[in-house]
Amino acid sequence: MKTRALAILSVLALLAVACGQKPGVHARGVAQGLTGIPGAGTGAVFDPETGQYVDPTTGQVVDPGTGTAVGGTTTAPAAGNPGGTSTGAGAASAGSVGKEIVIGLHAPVTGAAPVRSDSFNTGKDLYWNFGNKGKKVTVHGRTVKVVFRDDRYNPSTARAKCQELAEGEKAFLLIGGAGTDQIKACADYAAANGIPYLSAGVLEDALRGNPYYFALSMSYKQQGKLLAQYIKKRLPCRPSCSVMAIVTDTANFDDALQGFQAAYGNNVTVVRPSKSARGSQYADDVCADVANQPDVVFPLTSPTFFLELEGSAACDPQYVGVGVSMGLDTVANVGCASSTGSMNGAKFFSPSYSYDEVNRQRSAPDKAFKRAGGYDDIQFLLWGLMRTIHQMLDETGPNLSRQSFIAAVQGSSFKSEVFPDLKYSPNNHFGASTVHVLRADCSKRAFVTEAKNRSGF
Amino acid sequence: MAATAVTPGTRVGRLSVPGISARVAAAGIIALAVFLLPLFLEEFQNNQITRAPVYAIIGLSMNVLMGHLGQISLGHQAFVGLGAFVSGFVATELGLSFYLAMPIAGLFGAFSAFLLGLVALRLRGLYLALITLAYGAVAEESLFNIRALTRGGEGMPAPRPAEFQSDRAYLYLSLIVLILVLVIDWRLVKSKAGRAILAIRHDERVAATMGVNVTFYKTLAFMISGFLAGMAGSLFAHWQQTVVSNDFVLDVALTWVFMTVVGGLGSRAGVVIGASFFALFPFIMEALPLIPDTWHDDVPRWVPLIGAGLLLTTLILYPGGIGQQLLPVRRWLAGGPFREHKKDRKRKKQKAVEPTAPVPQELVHPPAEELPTEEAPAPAADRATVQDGPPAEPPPEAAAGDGQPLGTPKRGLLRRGFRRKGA
Amino acid sequence: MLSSIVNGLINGTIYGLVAIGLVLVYKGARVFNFAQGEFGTVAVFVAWILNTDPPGLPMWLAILAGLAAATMFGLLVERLVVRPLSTSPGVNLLVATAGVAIAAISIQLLLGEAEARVLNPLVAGEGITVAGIPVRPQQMIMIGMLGVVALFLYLFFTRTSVGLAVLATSQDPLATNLSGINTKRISALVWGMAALLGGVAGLLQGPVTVFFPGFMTATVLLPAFTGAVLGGMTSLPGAFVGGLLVGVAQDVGSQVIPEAVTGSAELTVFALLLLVLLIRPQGLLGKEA
Repeated sequence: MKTRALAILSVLALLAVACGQKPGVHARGVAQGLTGIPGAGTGAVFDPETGQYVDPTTGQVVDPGTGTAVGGTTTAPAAGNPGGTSTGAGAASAGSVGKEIVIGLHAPVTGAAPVRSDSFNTGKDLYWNFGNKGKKVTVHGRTVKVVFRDDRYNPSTARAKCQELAEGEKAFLLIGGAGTDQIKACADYAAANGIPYLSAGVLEDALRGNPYYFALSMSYKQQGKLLAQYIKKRLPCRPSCSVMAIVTDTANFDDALQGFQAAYGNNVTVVRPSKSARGSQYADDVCADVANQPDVVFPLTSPTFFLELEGSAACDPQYVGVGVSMGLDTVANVGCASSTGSMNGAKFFSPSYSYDEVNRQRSAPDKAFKRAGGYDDIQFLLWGLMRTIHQMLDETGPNLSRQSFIAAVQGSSFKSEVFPDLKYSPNNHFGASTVHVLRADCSKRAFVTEAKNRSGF
Repeated sequence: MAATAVTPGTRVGRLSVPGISARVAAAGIIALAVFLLPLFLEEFQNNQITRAPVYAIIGLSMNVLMGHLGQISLGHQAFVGLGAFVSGFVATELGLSFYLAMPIAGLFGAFSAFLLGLVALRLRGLYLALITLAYGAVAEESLFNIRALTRGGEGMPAPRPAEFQSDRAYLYLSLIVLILVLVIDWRLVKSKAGRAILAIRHDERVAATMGVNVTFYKTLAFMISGFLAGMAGSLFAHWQQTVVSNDFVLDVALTWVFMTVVGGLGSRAGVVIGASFFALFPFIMEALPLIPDTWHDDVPRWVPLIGAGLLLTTLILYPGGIGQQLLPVRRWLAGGPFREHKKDRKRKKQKAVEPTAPVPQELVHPPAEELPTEEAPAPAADRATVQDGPPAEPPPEAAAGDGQPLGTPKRGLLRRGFRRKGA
Repeated sequence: MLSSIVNGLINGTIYGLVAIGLVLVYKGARVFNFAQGEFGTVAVFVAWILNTDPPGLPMWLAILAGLAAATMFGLLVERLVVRPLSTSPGVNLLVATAGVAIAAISIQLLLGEAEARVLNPLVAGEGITVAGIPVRPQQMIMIGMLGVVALFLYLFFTRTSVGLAVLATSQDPLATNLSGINTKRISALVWGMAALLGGVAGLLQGPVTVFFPGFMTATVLLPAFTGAVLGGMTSLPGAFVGGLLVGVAQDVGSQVIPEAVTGSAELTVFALLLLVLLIRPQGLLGKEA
């Protein structure tokens, strides 16, 4: 009796599998309609694995403009379902919206980042609730809702959360808050499903070919060149400062490190800790060799790693860096509290300027933000981000779909007055060319703005 | 119906037709429910639910080690993670098919467990537990972070096979593999090797006297456990489609231990249910309509707390876990009675009973008897015949030397025949 | 190489402190206490909450409150978890202590988020330099405490009758009970002391680096176990020595093993643990396995 039951169950299982692959599921994943989007109208689909456009039925590499085959065939994932994900909500024709636009936002709240979840949860809605001169923002008659998910600083979780946001919450577009590996994972998912995906600039090389991705600030690689200039021209140890670059060992940081090294030249020591290493273990790498302590330390790691490093390091180098999450006041707060005192004067680039500056209320966004009740720099960062998104949605017009959004954004410029000015083109989705420079001021236990909107030093 | 005296735990000889059909219907309904559910869910939900069969396979592999062999394993993430990374590596870097990657992952897991098994031949009890903990921690912090092998923080991609691309299809694949593993475990326990392994768990010295090659079977058990864990790791990798070392931190490994213990060591069904619960509970919590959006962040923090709470409750109050609670159901499905017959309960009240017939291992856990001084459980309460008594001070005669008489109310986690004494 | 050794010794003091707590529990209850690290984290969190505004209590008061909280936590664990499992095989209690550790970490996350924080040191300032390694005042206090604690416990177990009662209880609870000693109180005493020790260790380590929920279990517990095993699980001076040796081994190992191998510190500790357990399970100074 037992063997027979098992046989019946196995047959049922096989039947279920056969039914699971619904017919036409591949064809639905094809971009259609509007021109101006690579692959649109030709039936070609972008495969993030190989970075090429393929014909979903034949698996052949095609030219996105014309849809004709180019060269050899691609390997497995493209022939059918690129990226191997479901296309339930992914078809580019889906995401045409009704009365409410849903935006999906993911960021690490647990894991290795001290991003406060209460700031995030209040901040994500602040602009949409009060950005219209103190009232709710509508875009061509539609309201906007932001749904947030914690990606736990883990790329596979990020992918699953992005899938949940897109399919479960029916998000129109997705935004990555911070965390390079997670942003890459979600960007791949978004591309395989035709969903616009935006984030502050992080990695560049691997995302250059992704037509659904837009960077809202300079990538780490672009910032690296500016950082090299800054060190050479602005720091007291110039002109020949010895630099130690501590960069987490992930391929997603390789382009940033190479960019920096190419721009800075010699005199850079490179240390690549693993993503799960503790910063305190690397304090000795920096300080133990008393005769050869570096003048400048460039951490490209998680903020927690950096804080552990800074808190355990017995020497006092100048910390500089790029990015999004290093320049947050929580980092300054904790770093300044440590007994080493080396946080004071640390310099980090950031897509938005400091909350200390916002308090001075020198510009319209500052005033609007304060009036809305915003109270920290994370919320202001989100304010600037959402303001940019608002402008993008506005530019797209009342005929809102994912393709029209992409077509509109990649042909326009945007000026949010908080985030850097952005200028996109169909070939360039990295539209920023300026950064703000923040400095840690331990008398205030926060960052202050040293320079705004710099494109060079 | 057989009307002869029914000693506790033996199978009833002949079942009537209504009896058989009731059992088949119950089993069939459960199976159908499990297999039809994915057809009605959205893809991202299917993606989330796939965690349950993957965890169940992990639990079953731990059950081989902890339940059948009676060794503690606090570092199982070493085997699972190794399987996951190997599978990803084979599929991505070597470009081989998924159907090759999975067995290769299993072999690597078996080898890794073999190494630990060698150590286990020399160590016992608490010290072995410590070494397994360290083994797992080292694997996660050192081996899984070697960028050339695992691509570091970016993660190793693990693409799904073409036939099982969609989330629904992959869920069915996982269920099929789970059934396969259940069958393997079932045959293992019935086989000579399985009996040898169980004998080693009860008392190594006695087993050796009986002619069991302890070294061989211990190592074999480790390797089987490792093989299953490696396969689970492969399934895990291709489910997530990216593997990072962070997926195998200590918290995760301890969660696996908890879910296996809560499921009930030695009980297949219990382990599967326990693992599924631990896997699905976070998503059920998040999906509850009453949960406001802002609580989504808190759910991952509540989950380990509830898990730890369940573990402590299980250890203190119900050491047999879910499996023990399921005992009446499983006995019924196998053809036995659901409740004890009244006359059997009375007979047990009168004297401490030794099982007179050889009892199938899955149904009864030794030591089983209740002491003459204890109250019989209330008839209305649907208790298993072998419920452990409430926590009590050991009766005076139980303190003799290092053995203990079979009448002890407290059954241990690993069901050793002797009380702990030192390490 | 000398700087590695000195650095290792300094790092090893915290391993020694936690190892002493582990040995205490083992001598008193015959179990490995996986929650030992969390006794420390609880103390640190309570001290931090009280020391920051509000209410901004002075550091010494916050420390006392932290120690009290840790001790109460230990007594609670003893009453709710240890005592019901006292009749079960040791592995039950082992897994239960792991459960307690996980539960404690979850509560910390729920109450305090995953942020990294800094605990203010008792004595701020520059400190001295030994063989090119800077030693902060906080670390000097740690070294001092290590010596004091080790000595105190050694005398406790060898010279006092209460200590003798503790040893007797762990070896044969029934006989001790029949002799008229209240084993329940002894058990509570052991765990209370262990928790207090854990709290001391945590509060000393907190200011040395940033702390976050579960930091003691994540960074210190395994090396401390290795130190305890190396020194001998039944020997208090052994724990002291073992912890320091593990610290040194870690540092020397990271220097010697090439950069390409990640996690060289953890590898060294594991190798050391394995060697000790396979070659000489009773450790350097222990008397029984």
